[in-house]
Amino acid sequence: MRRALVLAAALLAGCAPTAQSYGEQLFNDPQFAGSKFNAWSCATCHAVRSGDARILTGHPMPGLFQRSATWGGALPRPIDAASFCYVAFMRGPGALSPDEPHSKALSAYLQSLPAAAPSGPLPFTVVANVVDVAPGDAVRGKAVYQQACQACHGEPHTGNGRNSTLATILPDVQDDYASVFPGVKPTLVFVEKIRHGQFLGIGGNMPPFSQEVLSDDDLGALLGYLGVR
Amino acid sequence: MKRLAFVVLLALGACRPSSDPSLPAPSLTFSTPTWPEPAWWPGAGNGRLVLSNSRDDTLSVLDATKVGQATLPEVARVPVGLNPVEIEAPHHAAIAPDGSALYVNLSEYAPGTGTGPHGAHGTGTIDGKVLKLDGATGHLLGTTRVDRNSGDLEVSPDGTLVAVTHYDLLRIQEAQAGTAPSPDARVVLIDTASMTQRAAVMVCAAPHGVRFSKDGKRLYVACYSDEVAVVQLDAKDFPVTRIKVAANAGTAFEARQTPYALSVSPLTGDVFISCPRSGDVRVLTAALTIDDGRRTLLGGLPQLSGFSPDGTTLWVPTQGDDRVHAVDPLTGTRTASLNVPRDRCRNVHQVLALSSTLLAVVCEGDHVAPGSLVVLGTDGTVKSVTDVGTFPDYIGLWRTP
Ligand code: HEC
Ligand code: HEC
Repeated sequence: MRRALVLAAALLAGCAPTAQSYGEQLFNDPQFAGSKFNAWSCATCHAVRSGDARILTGHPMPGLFQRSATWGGALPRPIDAASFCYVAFMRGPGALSPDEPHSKALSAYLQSLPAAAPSGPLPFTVVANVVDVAPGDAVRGKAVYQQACQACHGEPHTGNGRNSTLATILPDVQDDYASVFPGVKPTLVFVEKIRHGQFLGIGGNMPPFSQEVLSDDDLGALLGYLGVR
Repeated sequence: MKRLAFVVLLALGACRPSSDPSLPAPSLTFSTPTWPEPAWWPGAGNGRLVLSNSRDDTLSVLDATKVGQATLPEVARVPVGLNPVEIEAPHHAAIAPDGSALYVNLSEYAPGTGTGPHGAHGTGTIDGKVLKLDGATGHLLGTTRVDRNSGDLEVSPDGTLVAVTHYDLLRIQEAQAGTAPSPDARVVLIDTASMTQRAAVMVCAAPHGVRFSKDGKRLYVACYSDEVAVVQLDAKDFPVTRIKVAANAGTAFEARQTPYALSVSPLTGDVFISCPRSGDVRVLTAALTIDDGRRTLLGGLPQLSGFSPDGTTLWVPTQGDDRVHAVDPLTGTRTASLNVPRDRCRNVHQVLALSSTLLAVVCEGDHVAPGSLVVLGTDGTVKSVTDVGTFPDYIGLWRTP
């Protein structure tokens, strides 16, 4: 029994969270948004270490506090950047406050990540006026799908393994497009969704893929792999 | 052993505090500052010129102490807006009289900034917002939702109110097509302390330029429907008087003068109305009569005018011919017409007279490439040209005591 108590005490001491460790937990936990409809954490869209092979819509977090602005220059303050994600993508209850402990812990964790040399904002070019992209190489497209889309959308046609049941099953949704967008090529509807995400009048809560993270070539390859017509 | 395992499990369970933001966080010690931010906000310094760049969601901030020198540097280009993906089109800004806050009008009118099968963004069908920014830090202090196509805004002389117009030309079309009951739009009065609407007053069709009288008791509004609306702010329910600017004035559907902007004389309280369609400036006296004797025909499309600091000259920019005119407000006589450097300045939009000898002229540009700020001597010499953001449409002088 004494052994058990000692062990328990040791474990408890070892797990009393620090600001940084609790912040890391929040960064990785969808529950941080407090919404039962949210399945994503910050880690769904942001890398924290180099060598992350995913194609992510959000930029890596290391070096954040050395950048002169975020979101391609549109938001100067890191807290505003994180707040925007928290509300727009994760259905969080409101902007993060600099004085609130959860938010402070998240900041402590992000500050503990490796620093970088001072830089300007990392580029984030939204393709605002979309034009159609021709379907390309399906082999390349499969790799792009796995790195960029599969975590959220799961396997094509079944959605197996998707992180949120709110994510549409691809590419089957295109079957509805003939009635929803008569006369419009389904490829263009896909391109618009991928480039605009939930913005520019579309709705939902998917993030937009910038020109920098997804080239038109890779976008075409994706359409080829998915068999979007 | 079973007991041991149980205790260990219990301890492990206690290990992980909840991430739910509605529950209190575990007790934590913080050794880092919360959310550091880069140095990005220029502050008022020893005086700034502030321009709103309506097609790229930024403010250009220039060093007002360098006005008149050969180079007038832009000290900062600061982003504004709430949405980092969409252009929210900051159409004009206003500065608190004590310099403590900046108010930015997000009009959401920005054609060409987003299209796809779902339709076009920025067509003026969603509501605008007014932001209040802390002059010292640039931090957002509050927002107020206003109506769609928010146009001009101004802060009252005592700093307690912001008045916002709505240049809703779409509503005129809708009224003509029978899908809106009336072409008229509202002026929203915002309480600056709480950033809530104090009142929304129906004024006229497509109200744009708005100015307070010097004593803050009246609001003058330039209306597309060939009239000026005068809102009495010290009377119950803010009564509105609409005054046609000409004997031959038309209507919202068939407008002849289309008042767009106005300036109030600091000396006499008379109101000088820029009328693009008739190419002239018309005068409404403080006694609320139109003084046809002082009408000034300028040609071109008169835009946002400004008085010299001593009130003796009214400076009026005209588009089409891109010139800047001096008008004697007591007689209505045009006393000078200055050219702007055509290769660096297209579509003059506003003149701010900084002194008796220096004018700041905002040039929209072609709405795709950068616009510019030209400093002109009142003798017509070009002092400086500074590139700013895309489609600048407002300039103000920002000073703190
Ligand atoms: C659904 C995807 C998604 C989620 C979830 C998400 N973000 Fe983002 N985030 C983005 C995108 C897209 C951008 C814009 C590109 C960029 O600037 O990184 C962005 C930008 C940022 C930036 C600015 C980075 C920079 O240097 O430009 C920060 C900081 C940030 N997010 C923090 C967070 C935090 C903290 C969370 C969790 C509370 C979070 N994000 C959740 C997608 C997401
Ligand atoms: C962070 C998660 C996430 C990522 C990554 C993501 N999506 Fe989505 N996507 C969603 C969600 C959730 C929806 C449904 C809600 C909505 O429309 O935003 C959706 C909807 C869609 C739709 C359907 C739009 C419609 O017609 O209703 C398409 C097409 C789509 N995504 C394509 C893609 C492609 C292709 C990729 C990879 C390049 C991708 N998505 C990456 C979450 C994601």
